[in-house]
Amino acid sequence: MFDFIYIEEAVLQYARTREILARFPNATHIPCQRYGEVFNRKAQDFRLQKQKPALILARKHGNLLLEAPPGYGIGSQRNFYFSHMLNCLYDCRYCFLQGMYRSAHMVVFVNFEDFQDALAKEIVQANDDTPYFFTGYDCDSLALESITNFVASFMDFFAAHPQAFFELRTKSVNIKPLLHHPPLPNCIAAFSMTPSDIAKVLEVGVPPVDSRLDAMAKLQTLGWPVGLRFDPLIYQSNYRDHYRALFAAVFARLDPDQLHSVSLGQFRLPRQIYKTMYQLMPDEKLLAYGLDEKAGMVSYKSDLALEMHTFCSEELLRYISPQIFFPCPSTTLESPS
Amino acid sequence: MLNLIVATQTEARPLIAHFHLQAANLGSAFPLYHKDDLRLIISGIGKIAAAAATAYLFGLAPENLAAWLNVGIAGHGQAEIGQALLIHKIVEHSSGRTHYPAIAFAPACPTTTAITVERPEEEYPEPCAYEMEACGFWPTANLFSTAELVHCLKIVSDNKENSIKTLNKQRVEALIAQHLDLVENLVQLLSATAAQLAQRRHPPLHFDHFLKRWHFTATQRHQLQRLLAHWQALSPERSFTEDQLKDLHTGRDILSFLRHQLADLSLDLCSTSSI
Repeated sequence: MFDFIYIEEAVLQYARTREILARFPNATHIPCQRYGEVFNRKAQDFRLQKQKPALILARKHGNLLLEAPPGYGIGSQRNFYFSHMLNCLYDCRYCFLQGMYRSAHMVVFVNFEDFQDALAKEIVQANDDTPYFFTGYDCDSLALESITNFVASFMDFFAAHPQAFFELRTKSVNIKPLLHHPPLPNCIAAFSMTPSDIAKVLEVGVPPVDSRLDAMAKLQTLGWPVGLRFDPLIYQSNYRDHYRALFAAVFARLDPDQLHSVSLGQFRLPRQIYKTMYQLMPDEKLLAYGLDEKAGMVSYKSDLALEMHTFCSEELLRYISPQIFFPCPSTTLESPS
Repeated sequence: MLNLIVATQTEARPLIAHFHLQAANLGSAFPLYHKDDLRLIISGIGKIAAAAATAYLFGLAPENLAAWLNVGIAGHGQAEIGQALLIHKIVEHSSGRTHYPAIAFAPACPTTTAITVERPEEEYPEPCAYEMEACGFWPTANLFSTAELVHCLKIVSDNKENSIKTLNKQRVEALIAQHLDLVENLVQLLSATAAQLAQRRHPPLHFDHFLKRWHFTATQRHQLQRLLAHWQALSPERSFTEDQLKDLHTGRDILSFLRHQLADLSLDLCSTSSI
């Protein structure tokens, strides 16, 4: 899978580093001082590297936890996210990572214990509030699990902190670490979903929707809290048919009464990220149609965004209770003037 | 376009012959050879010479998405004589500065770290390639091109068992000649990648034609480029008829026309074209 693995010299002797390296006996090891030397430098091409990304093993310094933007919670006012990994195995054409990062190499921060310390500190500071911690912002939480053992490493931590909630955002069906552990009521496996035909075109390398539904159904049967994330909503001319079919397929497999949460999000990109993505993929239809810029964000034009949001909300609420429905706020969802 | 940077005439000779390069008739500061989209420049030995030759070559025909390849001999602390090695890390011995070529393909030979030294190495303390150009060549070429298109290929000519002092011109030529297929494959691969990137930056269809036919302000030119690029992405098989264009007289008319055309398109992501 990886021909080249860059390793920060400071983490060469970490046990986790050695475990990961042992999985790639034929890879070439390239020591570096800090991962930014490779990852952050200018004059490199994300799309070229995506054809053959390298792995980078590093130590995360500084702020290991970041506050989530206001309004992006699923039941709490104290929301944080953390990233044990940068970049994703998958290649979704709408993904902001390719506009945000200069490199497509996958960075794994092997100092999981430091993340856990930061989480524990925040949980103490939360007192009686219920903090939510989201993973899967800069990567897919489960896709590279067989290499990182991230979820397996954090299971005991999640179990030891029942007063906090943890979301694993994923498109992967690699649910083994969850199958091998008793379900935790405070650990939500949240699956991102897009209509099947759209997913086939835009979500390169991602397991088909049906496979994701199988995984979700299995987890639900075992008692794991499962979440649905329809984010981003993707427009195309007959989107109503596609989304109606998707919701029907989802709720034919899953028990809506046993779902933890369902969220809905607009397709939105900060202006500079959109610009970078467009330069990388000028032929991508998704980036050429129906978009507008407002307040530094590029998203579908107001009337279109509102129409899609309204339609999908109404459809979803035919299946689920409003108590578990969390549509993401967006500046585009204002009535057209 | 691919630019080959080679330190000496001896190392260059097999490459010039293999690629049928012709000497350029320029009063240039460096010997220069070329054919079609391939250029070779002989820089002289050392990182400063390599940097200068690289910048000089770029200046002759600035083309941001050219690929660059430095080919030459090197000593090595471990590898066998004649081994070809692609460089995955470059260290400047005098300063410790490092560079990392981005190898975004499956390399056809082993890779190694190159240590750029001021004088030929005779001790070979590390299991690395010891050479004299990479840390001048690579960062300079990287100013003009993306990291995935700038590479160094070294052929091991000396090591602990075979002193650099035993090298002569015939042996150096023979070492390079041994790996012409590898160089050729690299040239083709990198040239194709450069062409792929160049296509990405190509102005959209009809852009030049529209610019010639109507006047656009600078701002309107940007808008025109964006609208035509969107049209190309959404409806590449459709063109504009003369009937549609004949009554449009200004740049503003054209932009308005294109916006209406785009607004009338439907979007089907699942097929290869829009409706």
